[in-house]
Amino acid sequence: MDNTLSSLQRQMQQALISPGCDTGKQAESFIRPTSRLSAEACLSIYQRSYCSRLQSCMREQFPALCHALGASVFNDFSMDYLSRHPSTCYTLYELGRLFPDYLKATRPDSNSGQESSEQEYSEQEIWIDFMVQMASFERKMFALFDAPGHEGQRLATNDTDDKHLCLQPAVRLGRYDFPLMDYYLAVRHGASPDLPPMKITHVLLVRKEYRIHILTLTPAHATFLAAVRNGLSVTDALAYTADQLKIPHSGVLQSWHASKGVREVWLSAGLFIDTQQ
Amino acid sequence: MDTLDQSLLSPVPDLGLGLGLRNCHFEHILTHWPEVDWFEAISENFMDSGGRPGYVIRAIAERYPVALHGVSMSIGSTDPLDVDYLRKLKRLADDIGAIWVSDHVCWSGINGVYTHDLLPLPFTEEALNHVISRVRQVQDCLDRPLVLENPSSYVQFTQSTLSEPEFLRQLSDATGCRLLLDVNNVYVTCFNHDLDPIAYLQDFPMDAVVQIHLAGHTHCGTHIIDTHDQPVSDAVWALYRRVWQQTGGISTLLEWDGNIPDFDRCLTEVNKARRYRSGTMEPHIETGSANQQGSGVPTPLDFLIPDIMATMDEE
Ligand SMILES: [Fe+2]
Repeated sequence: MDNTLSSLQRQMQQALISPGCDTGKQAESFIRPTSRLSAEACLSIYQRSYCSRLQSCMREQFPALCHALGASVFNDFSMDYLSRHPSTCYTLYELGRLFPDYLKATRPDSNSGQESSEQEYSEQEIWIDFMVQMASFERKMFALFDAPGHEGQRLATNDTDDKHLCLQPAVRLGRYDFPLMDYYLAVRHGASPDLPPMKITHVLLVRKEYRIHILTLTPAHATFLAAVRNGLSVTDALAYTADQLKIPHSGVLQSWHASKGVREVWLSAGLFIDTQQ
Repeated sequence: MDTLDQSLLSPVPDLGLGLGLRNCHFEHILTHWPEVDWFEAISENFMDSGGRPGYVIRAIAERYPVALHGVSMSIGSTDPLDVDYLRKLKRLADDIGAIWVSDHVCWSGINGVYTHDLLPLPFTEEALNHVISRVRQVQDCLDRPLVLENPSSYVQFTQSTLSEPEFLRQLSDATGCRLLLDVNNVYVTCFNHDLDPIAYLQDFPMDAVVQIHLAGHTHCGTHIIDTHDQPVSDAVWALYRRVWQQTGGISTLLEWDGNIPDFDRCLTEVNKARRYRSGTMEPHIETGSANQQGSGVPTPLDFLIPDIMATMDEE
């Protein structure tokens, strides 16, 4: 038998991340039993611990999705996910990075081979869409918590000229087919919300002074912010939004500049930094 | 042996009684600046922080001594060392003026995988030489001696030829690395491996110890799990007192990672150390009694995950 350190580590890791392989039964070949436990029972302490510790980290990172699925189903998904994508980063913050992609790729209706017509859009498909989108929403929230932000730079105020407004780094936009935010907040308040009916929603996440705020956006807001994020100046993005949504430019300008209007609300939410030092 | 700056090996201070820095206590600390001698922060939670954790640790390090304690260096792995990780760790340690940088004598994974567990090493000559050469690389990279902790263990490898204290003694002699003696881990490992904890402590290279860990565990009857989710057991207090008498004063820190109570409860727990070591409080030891009230999960990890849902603001 290969007695090297690398061979022992290979055997032990295999037993942890690929349960079901027969390394557990070979435990006696490299683990000494104790007066109370067999070699296999000793090894199984590590096997159980690997699963339960990482499952609980996943639950912490996706609390609303976990609520939607129920802890037991969520745990099963987590373990299947981790068996396909074991952690490859020293920080647990990256543990759930690929979870939304995993859910998308493994959805049972993903390779049925035929496009379903709109009428066939079944309840099951809606439910899976909700799961996938909730996972990506929660991942976005989680990553934003510790991402680089505006802190250390000057936030814009009502006195800042439009041409000096720049979207701060800790802003995320999302478009979803469900009112995910309502669901998320209901879970936060300890309620047991049902799967919400489909409704296209635009959501903005912003971190100001280390706290995350969620704002709902109109389609016009979302178009405008996406344009600014893609590099347009505020003035150009206002014109672009009017164009895209076929609404009068004057109306867009008015809702932007009005007292308690979009500009004022977003400045106080900390969306923009002042580029003029 | 590689030449390590001898000034780095000078006697280290007794920092007093400290607490592991936990997310759920941030607000309390920043508001009340409680009287605690020092903190120990989990390195990986702060190394990449662009958000609040990075701000918090800097604010705390301005007022308290802070040591960095890692869980992912994987010093015993047969994978190459993660140089990017070490660079970030050094930058953080320099930034906050860390008192020292510690991790565990263990491995976390191979082939690029992190199991996020502190997996035990076989105590063989091969493993010892492997870890010696890696500790030297890490110390060169961090430009300071590394401090390494004895982990809790649930398996003993058939191929081990050295005891854990002997392994650690040779490691520290060869590299100049310092040791973090986790007294709870000694108790847990010794029970699980049918060893005598007092003999273990007699063999332990106390000269190299710069820090002690205290924590709670869960006794499952046939084995003990290092759960860090309850008060320190009397048996562990008794060992702590013995270590104290053996060494005469070492920085001591309480780890509480599951079912974490409020800050003051943690502080009260670590402050018991003063009374146990002076003899004004006596441990009452009942041997072999199961106390399975906690999760039964070895050192939970979820305390490392910030609770976004609880801390966000609504529209
Ligand atoms: Fe410890």
